[in-house]
Amino acid sequence: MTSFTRTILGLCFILIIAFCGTFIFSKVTERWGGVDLTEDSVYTLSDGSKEIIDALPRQLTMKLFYSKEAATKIGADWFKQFHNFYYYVRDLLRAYERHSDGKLVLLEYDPRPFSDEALEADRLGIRRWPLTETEGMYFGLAVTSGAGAQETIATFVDPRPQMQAQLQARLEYDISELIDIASRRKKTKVGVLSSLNITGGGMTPYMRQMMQMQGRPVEEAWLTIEAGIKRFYDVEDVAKDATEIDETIDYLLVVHPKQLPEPTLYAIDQFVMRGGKLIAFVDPHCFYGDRPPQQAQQNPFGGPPPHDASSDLNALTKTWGVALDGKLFSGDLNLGQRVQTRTRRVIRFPGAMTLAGPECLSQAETVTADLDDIGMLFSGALRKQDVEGVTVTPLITTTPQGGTWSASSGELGGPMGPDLEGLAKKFKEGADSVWVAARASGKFTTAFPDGKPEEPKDEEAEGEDESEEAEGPEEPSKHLAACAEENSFILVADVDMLTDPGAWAQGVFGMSQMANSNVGFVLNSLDYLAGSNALISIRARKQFQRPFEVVAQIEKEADLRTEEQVQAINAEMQQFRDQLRDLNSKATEKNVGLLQSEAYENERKLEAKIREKEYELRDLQKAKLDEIEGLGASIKNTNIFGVPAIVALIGLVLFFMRNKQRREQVRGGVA
Amino acid sequence: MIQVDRITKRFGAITAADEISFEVQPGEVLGFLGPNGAGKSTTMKILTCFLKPDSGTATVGGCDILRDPIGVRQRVGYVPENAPLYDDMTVGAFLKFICEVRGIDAGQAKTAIERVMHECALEGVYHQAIETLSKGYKRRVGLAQAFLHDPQTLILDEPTDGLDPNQKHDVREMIRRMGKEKCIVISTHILEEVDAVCSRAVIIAKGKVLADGTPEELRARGGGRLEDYFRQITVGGGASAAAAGSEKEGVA
Amino acid sequence: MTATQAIMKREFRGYFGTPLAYVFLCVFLMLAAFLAFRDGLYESRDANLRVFFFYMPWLFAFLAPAIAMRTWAEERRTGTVELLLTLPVTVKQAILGKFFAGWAFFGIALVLTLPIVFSVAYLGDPDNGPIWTGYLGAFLMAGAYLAIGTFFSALTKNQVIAFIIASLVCAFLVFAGQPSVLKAVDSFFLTSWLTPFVEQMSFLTHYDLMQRGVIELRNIVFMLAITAAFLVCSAVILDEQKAR
Repeated sequence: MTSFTRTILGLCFILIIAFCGTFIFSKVTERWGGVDLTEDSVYTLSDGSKEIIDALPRQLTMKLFYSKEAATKIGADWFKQFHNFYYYVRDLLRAYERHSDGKLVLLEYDPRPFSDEALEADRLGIRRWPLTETEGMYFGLAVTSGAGAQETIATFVDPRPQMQAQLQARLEYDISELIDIASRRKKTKVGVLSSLNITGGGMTPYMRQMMQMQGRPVEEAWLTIEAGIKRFYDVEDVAKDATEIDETIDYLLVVHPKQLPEPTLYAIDQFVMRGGKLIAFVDPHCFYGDRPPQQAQQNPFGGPPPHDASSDLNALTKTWGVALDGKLFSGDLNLGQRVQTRTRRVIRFPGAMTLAGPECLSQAETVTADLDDIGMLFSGALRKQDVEGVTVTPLITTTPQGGTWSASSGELGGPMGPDLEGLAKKFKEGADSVWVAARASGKFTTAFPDGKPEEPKDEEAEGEDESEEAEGPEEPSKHLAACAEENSFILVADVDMLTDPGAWAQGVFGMSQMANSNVGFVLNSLDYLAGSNALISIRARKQFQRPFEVVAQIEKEADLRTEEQVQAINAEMQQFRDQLRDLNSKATEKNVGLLQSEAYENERKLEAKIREKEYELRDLQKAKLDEIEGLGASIKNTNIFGVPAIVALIGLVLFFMRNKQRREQVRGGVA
Repeated sequence: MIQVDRITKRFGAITAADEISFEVQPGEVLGFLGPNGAGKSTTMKILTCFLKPDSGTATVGGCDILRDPIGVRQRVGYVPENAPLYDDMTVGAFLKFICEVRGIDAGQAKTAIERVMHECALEGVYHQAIETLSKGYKRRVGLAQAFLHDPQTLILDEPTDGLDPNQKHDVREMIRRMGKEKCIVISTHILEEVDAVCSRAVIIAKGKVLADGTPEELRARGGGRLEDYFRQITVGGGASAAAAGSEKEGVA
Repeated sequence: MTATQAIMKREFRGYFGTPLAYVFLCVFLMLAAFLAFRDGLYESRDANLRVFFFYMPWLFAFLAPAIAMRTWAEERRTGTVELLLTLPVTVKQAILGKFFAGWAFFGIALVLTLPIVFSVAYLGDPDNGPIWTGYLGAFLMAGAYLAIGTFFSALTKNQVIAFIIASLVCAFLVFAGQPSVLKAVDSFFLTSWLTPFVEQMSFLTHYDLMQRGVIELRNIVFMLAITAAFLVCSAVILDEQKAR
């Protein structure tokens, strides 16, 4: 027995060595990383992220919160996807940590109810998703620095699968962005000059709240500014009649400049001449942002006075290579969104474009290469101006079938809104793609060759200038005739794309979500002009979601097949509803008892008809679902029963064949 | 040729082999006699390197069992007790498998298989699954397996156990035929077998060698009957007591 | 190595000589497909095999011991171990031959799950990287489980006992990565240094990254080291136990 005992001890020894050895090996090589064999290298940091990490000025701590234990306790199936995503997030963060050489430290927390970790999570603003009465799920990231900087991604969870997929696709960008923001000491300053009040008028939130309480109209800042640009840059208002752009401003965002006074134009000109970066959004008709004043709409006498919602910066940009092409609109039937007309018909409107794909978004340009889709409404057209020494590159264009057309103010803004149907009819396809956004680069020359424009109004400001810079001996030479170094600016022929309805969608929890890549475009433009390509390059989407194309195709075909039917049904339903409403209003207006019974009868009939149509609609949708489920069932059955059945069959056949063969051979052998 | 040098093997408190020593020369058929549990199988397992002795050593076919167990196994044909076989295989597949494991190349294997099939009278059952064979056939397959590489040394553990008289006869014929040039060890507890095939016999009990000699010598010691001698020396308490008893009886 | 090959060949043929192999394959294929589709492989409408690979550690924890339980327990029960190990074959060769046969059998079982991959590839455009690494991980894991099964099969003559103990050990090595187990370990041993060790023991920890498309040296080393360790143990125990 002693030898047996010795053997058992030996075995234990071998196993302990094996487990301890691998444990130690794992720990030692933890930071080695691995070979990433995924198609898009989703577990490998992109160069942009590496650049950001390399440029980190000091140590940052990444705190990953995930309720791992709660996740396993709940054990629901829906949880699994978050669990998997958590592992991805963790691995990606580990990749950051690995690359950072100690500059990034990853801490992982599993907050339990009422624990210190939970407190910490709440303090850092990590979102808590209630699971049970006490249990909550945290899944967020905070990046903190010793200096007190602190940035968070409140949650990696989105209950909507589509948004969750986007979240996952954007993950690396979001993390890099977070690290970038947290590490940056001073944010770059962006000046915003606009004829519209897009920054909220510089009001503090407190003032705004007070005004709201007093029932006064408050102009909210646009989300693109508030939730987009302000996350990365300091935003400073520049008055729309400013005569001087402050030296501290690095970028100037000009939005919807309506007939700017000469001195302001000159200020912008000089800003560009001294190397300032300009991004201008102009529009022949800004639909969302530039509404006519309220009282004009209520004008009881006749129609409202025509409101001019157009802007341009042609006075300057013509000399710099690109300008807005009059008041022409760009349009493209291929890209047109479905809109509802005054008569409640749904049509494809060429003036409301969703620009997507390599045809529209220049793949050669970092600004646009990684974007998904840009939404524009009543966008204008850009025209290249031949200027020596300046190269102009389109960033966003329509497809080659795009065209331009013009519209009267009556068509654009009646009391019932724009006459979309009429406008759509006027549209004709063109032969070449129309530019809607472009970048010009070169050593620009001033649009004011004669120097500062003489304006009486200007003197005051000039005086101020002089008094400020009394010491400055060479005041006249301050005028710059050309850029000393190559400069770039970006011109976009649409303002609506920046507005809240143009770029943002309301999320389920009252949180606004980006509806398209519009904000990304603005940020990319700023980043591009800043010359920092690091963040832009990460914005590349990594494909996390790989949809079943066959199923999508079935869905699409079914939709196409039933589109007309659905529309017809919807139209009929609408008609019945309108009738119903008429009936109701009549009944209430003329409260005639006689009519009522008849009306009641009619009402019931109409309601029955509507319900009938609803059933029809549902049946159509059900047919589509049935087809998809049918495909699913056949695939499932093939795999669950078909394949094993084939294996069993092969086994049986082989078995019988072998038996038969053997029996014959035995018989033969005996004989 | 086999030389066994003071082999000892213990299983816990039981000593299965206690300083066993003997020699077998080519052309000899050694009968390994002893009651059940005497240590016959243990000794044979040690000789075929299935077990390691606690002390002592042996040389089989010129190879030391401790230093070159693979060499020993290559030179020995062994039929374990009850001749265990892979029942799910056919006779042909089984023999082929043994050839492959023994590293006999395919061409030679074919002739070797034909030879042993003939020697062991297995011609009719080549394609038959072993589990469907009768006991006699199975034993013959077991023997055939041991002859495949034409070894000079054969170790057969109770080769005739459980066979009917005709089958026993066939097997003994085979052993006798081969015993002329080979060195064969068979274990048995059937004394008639010693007379039938062995040129020499070793009697062991309780792990000790009690007698070694030709069947005639042993018979003479037992007063003309092998059974008597066998009983004399194997019945008793410990091995030493048995040995002492034999002396006493010898005196008496 | 010819002896190893011969043993491997015999064992491998042995699997298919009996209906057992086919029953095993059918059960495995059905379970693998059923579990994957039950968990929304189709309904998720996303071309990946994550749910399919998710269940591999669990399926293997029971199927590998079922395949391995025969290997030595049966040999010892029928006594053929004496036949096999008195042929000019080392214990190492015999163990390896049988192990490779079982492993090859699992290879075939995995290959037969390819229709699921084809289905997904038909429906969409899956990322092939994680699929192949997932298969590699599953195959390595099957090897480790088989080694564990081989060990317990060598330890006892009773197949059922070999199966049950091996399954329990495999299941433990899967479960070890679960937070609940880790917590239990944490509270039971009142030390926290053991927890990462136990987590590291889990196949899930090592398999997880693999089935997502990343191959790390340590994960492969873990699987191979566990396989090797249990095979060495099998050899030791077989040498010790073969005569009993």
